[in-house]
Amino acid sequence: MEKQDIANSINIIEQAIQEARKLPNGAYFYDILWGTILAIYYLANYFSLSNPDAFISNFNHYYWVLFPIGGIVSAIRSKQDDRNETAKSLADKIYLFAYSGFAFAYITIYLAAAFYGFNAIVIPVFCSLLGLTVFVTGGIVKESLSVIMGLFGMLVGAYMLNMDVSHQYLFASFVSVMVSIVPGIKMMFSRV
Amino acid sequence: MFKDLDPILHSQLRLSIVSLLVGLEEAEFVYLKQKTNTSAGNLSLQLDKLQKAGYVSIKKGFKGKYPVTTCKLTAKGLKAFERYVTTIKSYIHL
Repeated sequence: MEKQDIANSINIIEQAIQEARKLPNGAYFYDILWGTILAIYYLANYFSLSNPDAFISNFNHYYWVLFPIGGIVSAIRSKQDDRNETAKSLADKIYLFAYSGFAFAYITIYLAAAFYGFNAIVIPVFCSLLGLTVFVTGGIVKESLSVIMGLFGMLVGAYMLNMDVSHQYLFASFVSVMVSIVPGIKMMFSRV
Repeated sequence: MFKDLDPILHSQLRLSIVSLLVGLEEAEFVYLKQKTNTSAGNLSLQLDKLQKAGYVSIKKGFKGKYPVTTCKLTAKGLKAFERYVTTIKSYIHL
C-alpha cells in the first residue's frame, strides 16, 4: 500500500469528522427558552409566597400557563429546524434522550412526593436532576461551561434540602439562570 | 502480512461520505453534495454502491413540496468503517 494513499485516507477521515462536528445542533435555543420560563416561574412563586398581598400573587394559580407556552414555542422552533437543516447531528439524539429521561424522572418524583407528602424535596430534586442532565450532555458535546454549571446545579440542589419552600423557589430560579440560560448563551455565541 | 483495505471504502468520495455519516445521525443528499464538493451524478453513483454493500441506508421522502433523499450509516457500515480505520492504523505502525 502506497504511503501517499494512506495519508490521503487519514486526511479524508479527519476532515470529514471535523466537518460533521461543526454542525450546529440548536440546543442553545431550548436551553435559553426553558431556563427563562423556569426562572420566571420560580421567581413568581417565590414572590407570591413571600408577598401574599402583592398584586401578582392573585395570579399564582395561573403560573403553570408558562409551560404550555414554552411547549408551543419549542414545537414551532423544532418544525422550523426540521425544515431548514440538511443534516442531523448525533448530539440531537443525545439531548432528546437526556431531557426525556430528566422529564420522566422529575414527573415520577413529583407524583411520588405528592402521594407520600414529601413536597419539600421536589424543588431540590428538580435542581439536581437538571444539573445532572446539563452535566452529562455538556460532557458529551464537550461544553465545559455546561459541565461546571451542571455540577453547580447538583450542589445547590443538595444544599436546598434544608431550606423552607419559599427560599427553595428563589434558589431554583437562580439555578435555572445559571444551569440553563448561561450555558445556552455561551453555546449561542459559539454556535454549538 | 497486512490485511487488504475494504475496496468499497478505499475510494476518496465513498470514504468521505461514510466519514461524514459516522459523526451524524443522518444527512440529506444536498448536505453530502455540498461537503464532498462533487457532482450530483457522481454522488448518486457512489451512494448507490454504498447502499448495495449495505453500508448506507437511503430514504426518499418529501420536505413540504420538495423531494428529499436522506442517508444514514448502517451498523454494517459503521463496522466496516471501524475495520478500515484499524487496518489503516496497522499500516501506519510499520
